[in-house]
Amino acid sequence: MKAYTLGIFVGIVVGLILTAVFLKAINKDGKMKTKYDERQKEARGKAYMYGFYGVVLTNALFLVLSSSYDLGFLGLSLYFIPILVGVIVQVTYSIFHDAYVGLNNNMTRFIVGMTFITAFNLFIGIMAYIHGELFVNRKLQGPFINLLCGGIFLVLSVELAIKKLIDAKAE
Amino acid sequence: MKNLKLKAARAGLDMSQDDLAKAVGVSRQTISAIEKGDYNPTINLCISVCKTLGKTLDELFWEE
Repeated sequence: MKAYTLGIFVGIVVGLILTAVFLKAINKDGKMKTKYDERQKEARGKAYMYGFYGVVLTNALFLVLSSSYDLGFLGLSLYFIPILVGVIVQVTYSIFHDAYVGLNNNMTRFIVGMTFITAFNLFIGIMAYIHGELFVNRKLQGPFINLLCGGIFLVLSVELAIKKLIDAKAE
Repeated sequence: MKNLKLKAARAGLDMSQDDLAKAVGVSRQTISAIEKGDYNPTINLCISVCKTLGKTLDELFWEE
């Protein structure tokens, strides 16, 4: 159990380091901080607000459901699903209000990075499914979260493509 | 309300929305939103746009 907890901790640290590298790589100026203009900042503020509501509502839904059903089969996903719902709400709102891609983002590197993250997460999830490690002891395991993340990144990529089409038509 | 004066001033200098956006440090969509009247810019951005286009605040942003 201790090794498992340590594994999760190391995973989070590695994830944070990779996020920092990713952020530095996708920005044209080599800085980690993505720049947004005043309108984008305003939209992102609203996006975070709706994302927060998403987290609260999903947690409330789980609370209600847990009084009638055993949600133990969700395992760690029980904690991650509300966070992922919040992220998808925040990012979707940002994308459709021109506030997801920053002023200093390099679009090519951005798309390459998104594709890599999507493929990496889906790969881990699918491999776990193939090896029967996705659902063990009637509980969803860690790789299910990877599968969820991969799916979400896939949805976000489609949203970005749709927004690009909308913008191209508007020009 | 659409800001046709801004659009005209920009076109007068043969600048695209993207050119103006880069000059004032915002996204092209923000310039488009200002021209369409979908977004009210801050005074700082208005001043920046005026300086770039060589116009006064009255000339670009005052509604008559």
